[in-house]
Amino acid sequence: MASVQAETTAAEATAAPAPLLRVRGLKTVFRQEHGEVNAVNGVNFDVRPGETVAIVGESGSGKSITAMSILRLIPSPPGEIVDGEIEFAGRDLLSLSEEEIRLVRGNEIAMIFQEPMSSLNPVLTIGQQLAEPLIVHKRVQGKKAIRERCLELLRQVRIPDPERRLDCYPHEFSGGMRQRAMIAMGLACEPRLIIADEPTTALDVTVQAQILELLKELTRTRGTSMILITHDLGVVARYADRINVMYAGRIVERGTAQEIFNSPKHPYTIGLMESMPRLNQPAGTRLKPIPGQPPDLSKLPRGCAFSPRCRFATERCRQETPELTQLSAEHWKACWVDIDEAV
Amino acid sequence: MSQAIQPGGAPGVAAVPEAQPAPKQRGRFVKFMIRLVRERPLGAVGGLICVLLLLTGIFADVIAPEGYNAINPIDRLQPPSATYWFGTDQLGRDVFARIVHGARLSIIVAFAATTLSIVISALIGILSGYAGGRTDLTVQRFVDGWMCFPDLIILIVAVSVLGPGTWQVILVLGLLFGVAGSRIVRGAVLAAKENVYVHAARAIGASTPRILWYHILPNVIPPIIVLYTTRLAAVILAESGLSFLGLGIPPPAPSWGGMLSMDGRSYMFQAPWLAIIPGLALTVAVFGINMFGDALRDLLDPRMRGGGGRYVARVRKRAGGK
Amino acid sequence: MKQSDVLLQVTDLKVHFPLGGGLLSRRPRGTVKAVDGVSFHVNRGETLGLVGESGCGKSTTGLAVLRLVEPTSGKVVLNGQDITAMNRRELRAVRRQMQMVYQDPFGALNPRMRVLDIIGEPLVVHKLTRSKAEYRERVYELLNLVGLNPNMAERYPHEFSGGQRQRIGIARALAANPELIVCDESVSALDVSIQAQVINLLEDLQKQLNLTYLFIAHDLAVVRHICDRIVVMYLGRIVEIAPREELYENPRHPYTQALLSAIPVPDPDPAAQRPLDPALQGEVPSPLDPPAGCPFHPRCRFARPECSQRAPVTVDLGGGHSVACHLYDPAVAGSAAAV
Repeated sequence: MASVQAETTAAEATAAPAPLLRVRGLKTVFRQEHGEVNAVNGVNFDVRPGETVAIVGESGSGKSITAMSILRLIPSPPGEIVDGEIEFAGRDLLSLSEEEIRLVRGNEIAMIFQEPMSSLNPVLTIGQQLAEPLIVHKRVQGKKAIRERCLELLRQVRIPDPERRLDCYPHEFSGGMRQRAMIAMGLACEPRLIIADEPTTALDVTVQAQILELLKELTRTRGTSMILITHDLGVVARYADRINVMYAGRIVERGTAQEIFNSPKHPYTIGLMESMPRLNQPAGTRLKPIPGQPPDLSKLPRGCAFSPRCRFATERCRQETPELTQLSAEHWKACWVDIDEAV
Repeated sequence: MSQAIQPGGAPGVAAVPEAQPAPKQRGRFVKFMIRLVRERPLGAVGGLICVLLLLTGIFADVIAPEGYNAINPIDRLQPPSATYWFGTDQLGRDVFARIVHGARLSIIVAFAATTLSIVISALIGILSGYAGGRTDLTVQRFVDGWMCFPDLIILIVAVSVLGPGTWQVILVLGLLFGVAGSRIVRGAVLAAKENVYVHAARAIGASTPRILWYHILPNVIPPIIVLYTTRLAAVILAESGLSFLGLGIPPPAPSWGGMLSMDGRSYMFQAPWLAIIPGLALTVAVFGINMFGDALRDLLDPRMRGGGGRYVARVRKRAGGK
Repeated sequence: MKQSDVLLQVTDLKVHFPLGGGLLSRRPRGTVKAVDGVSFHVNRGETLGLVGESGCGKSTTGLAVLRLVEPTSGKVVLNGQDITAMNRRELRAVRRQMQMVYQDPFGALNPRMRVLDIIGEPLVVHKLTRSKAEYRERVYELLNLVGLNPNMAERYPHEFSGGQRQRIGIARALAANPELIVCDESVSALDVSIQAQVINLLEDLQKQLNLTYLFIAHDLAVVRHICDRIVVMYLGRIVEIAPREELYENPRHPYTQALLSAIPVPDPDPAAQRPLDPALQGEVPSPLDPPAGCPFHPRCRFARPECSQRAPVTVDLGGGHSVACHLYDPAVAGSAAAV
């Protein structure tokens, strides 16, 4: 199924449809006592209508900050978007006023967070919280209509017995149910883009599978685009059409799921693939970890940020920062080294 | 050996720069003072007042060599002047000298009673918090019961049994504040107990005293320091209150509270400085100590720094479009 | 297995937590049966995986094995010594032989202590070194062993990255030369690239020092990689025990099957994915009020009337594979074994 989708997106690329979201040269810094941290350092990517784009990376890679920057949710101070363009459906989100961006949040772009526990207000019922975006964005008028819409939303995310559940408090819900409720809130205003930031990290595997299947299905049936932010490569392989791999605030490789998993071209992506224990490889195979420690974002080296941990690094890598260059229709990488030659 | 473990060299070694000398203790104190002045200027002022108060108390005999009880009937009830900076009282005693010696008295009572109260707080709090279960429950009910009595009743009963005097005041105030403060220490112990490293120490086989000393106590020290400073001011006030009521340190000792009540009240209209001066001394001292204590709390309590949790919550809220 | 003698034998272990009850009322309001009759053994030199979802009691089992949580009943025998029958003094001495590595690399190290004192703490507690110099020497040796530079001994934990801290935690666990190490989600909090470093380190240390691991984790790919045998738990009970290959190739219990089907495989080819078990709906019920009979029956697609009435007995399928399910019980009519 993933392969079919990849082909269609590739076909669309040649026809060059206007992307729903276009991010160019995004830079977000955090100013701290001991200097600046370049959390996002020149990120470019597109999200096309109806596709699921993944941003994968380890902690500190800037994947969550990228997502928060799109909705201008960076706490300021200490954070600040210092450069770049974020174009959503023809509008530049960075030039909108605070009031205008508020109308985008939760309305046209919805965000789903990692911890369903702390993202819900414990003193309000699920129904009250579901109604909130509807009221704020004036989607539905009238008490009865709002309740109807809330029930419909709960049914869509397959919460059993929605009539009763609507009047429950978050603590009466299990973890998976809370996440379903969060998704329902995200869907309330029928957004065109959903940003899911580690939506299942806090959940058990069996529940994770249910939630991801639900998200996949809902986006497909409604043609909603999704940015899926995760550190779990397994999740990415199963649910994303295109993948952006981030390292130290930059996208280092981008491609379809097939390209990233079957022929990764950036040494970091290759390292990630090799360090992951897989169910489909003979047990007892020794893992090949990426040597070294994660980068310190306030003290990034010159040149390519991955060069200190890279086994292919050359003198050029330590001097100049590589930009994303196109390898094929969908496949891009930011690396000076030709891996096929180096191996 | 590390090569065998890590293909591609010992990676842990590469990422961290070569060892730097550990920061010295002295450097830490200086850094702390700089932070105090920069981040909490009012606290620094409070600290200065505390230092002045301490110096006044220590060098009372140098500053006012004639002592607090030199009676000079000719100069009775003199208003403040070049000779008598703060005027004189109805017995012709120099109010300045009495304030200076009163500072010493206040300091002695404050430090002794506060130290006693902190020891009591720490003992009860650590015992109750670390033992947990039934012990904790029993001790806490006792503390509840104790705190149900109005302080004043306990004080009056205690003083009427023990009689007035400096040591009696210290004992009573120490006990009173000690039991109440145990709650704060217990809270800190309960929080510290939840640290995984406390669990890890148990898993290693460490004994209870060792765990208390190395892993629990360091977490309890910052709240104890804060408790100490706030208690100092409270004790000074309480002592004055007791002396004002005649339950504290008996005359002729120059207790600020006593001065307010004995002389200040009787001659309020003829010689207002007799009430104003000790009142001001009390206000300045308590203000200084409180400001310093607040600043200490803010600087020592790591939860007051950053506040990451709060902004995440804020971000969440905005993301919901609210 | 390198040696087949049993290092750890756990028999019918139960850990029940009473809920409520105050100073005056001794009667608890309820009981959480976190671990409810668990039996397994760990051979010397092997890695036994303990897997399951949250609330299945895997961590509590690990803690009860070390007696960091008091077992309600049952027996834990390490090296022939019954740990459950020991008094506090004996227990502290036996702690030398069994150590723990924690999940959280940030919380498990006292931030106010130097690495030297953190790693050396077991040495002090069990009086294993005689002089300052010997102590230092041993800590340096341990730092080398886990791939850290001895010149880091004077630093404090906040100066290290997550992976390095986890190495420090491992060095501390090794200090007293233990035989058994309980790894409670020890690599779960680490990033993939760092996780692989630590997994390799654990494997190397096992070979070098002939360690035995009780490896508690929820990540089935990691467990498959590192463990020789695997115990699957659900709501305080063991549902299946099998050697690694057997469990992943031929899972018998419906829960194990569902669990394996839910793991996303990092391969975009749909053929590589196990088809998601469509029947697996709902979530793990609350351990406060577990279902009667087989705890899995409300979510099980093979559930039959007897599943909600009687708890299944453990059936030995041979080859070290056992399963607690009515489907395989020859005594139950219509079971796979009977057919």
